[in-house]
Amino acid sequence: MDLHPTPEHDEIVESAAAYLASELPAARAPKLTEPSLTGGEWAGLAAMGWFSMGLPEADGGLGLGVVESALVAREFGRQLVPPQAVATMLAVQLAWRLGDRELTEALAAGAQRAALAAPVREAGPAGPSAHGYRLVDTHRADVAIGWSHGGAFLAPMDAFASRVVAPSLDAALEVCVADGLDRAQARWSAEPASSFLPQAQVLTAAVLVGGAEACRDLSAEYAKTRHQFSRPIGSFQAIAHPCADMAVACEAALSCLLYAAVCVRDGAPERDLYSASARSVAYHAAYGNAAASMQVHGGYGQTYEYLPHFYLKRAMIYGLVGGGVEADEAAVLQAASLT
Amino acid sequence: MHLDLTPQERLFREELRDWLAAHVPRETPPKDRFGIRAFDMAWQRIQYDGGWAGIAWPKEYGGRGLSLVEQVIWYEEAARADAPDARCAFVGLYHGGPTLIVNATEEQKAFHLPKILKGETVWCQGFSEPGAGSDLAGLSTRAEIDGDELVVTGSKIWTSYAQVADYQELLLRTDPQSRRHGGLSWVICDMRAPGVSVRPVPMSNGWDSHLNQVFYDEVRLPLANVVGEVGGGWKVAMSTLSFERGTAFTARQMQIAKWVDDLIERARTRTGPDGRPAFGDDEIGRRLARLRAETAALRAMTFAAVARNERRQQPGPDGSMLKIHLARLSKEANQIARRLMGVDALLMTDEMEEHLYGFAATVGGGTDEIQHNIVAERVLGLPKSY
Repeated sequence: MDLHPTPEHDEIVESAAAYLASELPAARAPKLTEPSLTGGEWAGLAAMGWFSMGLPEADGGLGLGVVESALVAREFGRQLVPPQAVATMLAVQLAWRLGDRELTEALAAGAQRAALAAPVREAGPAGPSAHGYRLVDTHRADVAIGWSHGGAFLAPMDAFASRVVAPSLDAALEVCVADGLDRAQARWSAEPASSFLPQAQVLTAAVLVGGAEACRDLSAEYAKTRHQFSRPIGSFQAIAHPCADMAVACEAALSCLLYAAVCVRDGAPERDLYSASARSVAYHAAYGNAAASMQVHGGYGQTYEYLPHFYLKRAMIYGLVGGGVEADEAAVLQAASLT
Repeated sequence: MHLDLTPQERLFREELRDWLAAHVPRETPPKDRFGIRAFDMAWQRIQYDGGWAGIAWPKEYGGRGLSLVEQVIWYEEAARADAPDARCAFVGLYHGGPTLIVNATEEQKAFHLPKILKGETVWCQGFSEPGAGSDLAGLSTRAEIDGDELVVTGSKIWTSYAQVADYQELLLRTDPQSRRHGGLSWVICDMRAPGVSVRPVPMSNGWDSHLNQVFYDEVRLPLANVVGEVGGGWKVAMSTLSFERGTAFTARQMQIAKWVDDLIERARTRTGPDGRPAFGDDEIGRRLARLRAETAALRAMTFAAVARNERRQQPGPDGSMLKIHLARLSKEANQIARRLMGVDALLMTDEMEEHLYGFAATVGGGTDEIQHNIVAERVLGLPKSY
């Protein structure tokens, strides 16, 4: 029993953090004029091996697992990397489970990109909803991935009926509204047989943890440098204590994430309890920290130029996909009564 | 990064489970002060005789000399088996003893540590004063040095189980010229020394066997009872507080998941005023779900802290994050428990006594406000805030 990152884990985190800080730093978000990532930026992520890292070496992957993928996804969250990145990591996993070798390889190599699909009505046990969808981060996307507690699907973008670009919550991302889904074109993998859900819970929790941590760090930095009444505002408890609460929320969310990731990797009996808990705790940490960070930044926190609102919006996005955090919380109660 | 137990740890858990099933006392713990002492010390002695006391304490002082992982396994299994709380054994086991292990002389350790583990001595804390609560360095209880003795005058308050305690972690000012953090000493006070008197402070829930005020009227203590340097008491006190905030509540952290599971079960079975299970109330269901997820996170946080503490001598300021999270979850569980009581909340039941005691979760062991200051300053590097 040792829930301490290994030197290899530290190395993965450091290399991801260094790459993203130099190539795709969060600070660029307010200045973006085109949604999502350019072809060159996307190729850079693929070249880092992050989309394929969860695949076995025999299938062209790095043979690394969900723990390492979660550590990278956490860095995506920290730097506001568009959702296509984690969606593509998940799509690789799902395509591989579906036995679609061609799609797995295309996604892993960065030749195809995945957007996130959120159905207006939840999927039934037999397949994805045929009704309306909201599709997130669709610019240059080739497929969309959606999942809930009943199962997960992958569908080409063309399978969504009357798809139109709509005003987006997060202007740095393109959103589409679709009337329905041609289910014949969708590939479905049912839970619990697929065991995709825990992966998706953990990787989205990881992005949320990264966001929560970024908001903590932005707030602490601002509290140290912004002066009012001739003192740094961090010397007032009205600012310092919410910052401390952000740190506590991060510590809880990160610990739960790592515990859950290890459970998913090992197929531990506590897996379902911890993967669902990790998503709930990470969502509330991310949303709560972003909201608190907007307050700590005062008037600047309400502007487009400052970053907290981007983290708030990403928390909303990741909290709404995958059947919504409410479904994970229902799953927590279900799993708790079984352990 | 792994959650696997070694074969040795697995064996430890199995043996422990069997032992707890056979030895956990089944009678209701008494509530009067002498009953509390007799019961808690008897349970501690049973643990010692079974070889389960001081899991991570050094062998030479009667401990098992095992790792913090085994210690946390012990807490988790004890919670599962509904073993009694440490109560009046708490201070000795969870921060007095650990402070001695890190800071005391060989003689002090050899005399006191085995007695704590055997359930022979009760320890209490003597830090807070009527005029110095969160501002601990503002304390005014003082001692003059007279030859090889200290002569103590002053008063301490919020002292749990002082009426039945043998020894106290007494923090006082030994240098009359000093101010604030300098010139303090951490002294082992014999609670039976002439001049020590104890007055119970009745609590909001009616308990009068828990909190006390302690008075010192020219109490003479051997200078040899100072732990660490004379005048170096602040450093020793910080060591005590690092254990109190970092690891003393590990048992509680392990208990809370079971408490929440019990609440979930009660919400499923107990009906509300409308005749439906309380669980059908969306608000209760949602709050329980979030609370259960957060207790899973608290457990994970505990294991992460164990991993860090295995790599250092005593817990760091990050221990305050555990304390804040535990207190918050305890209070939320407490509020849900009250909702489930319905109109029985009008009665001073055992459950209501515990409910009211639950409000102390954000005060005892350092107020929530002070814990937040510590996290802000020492984890996030913010400037000092008052």
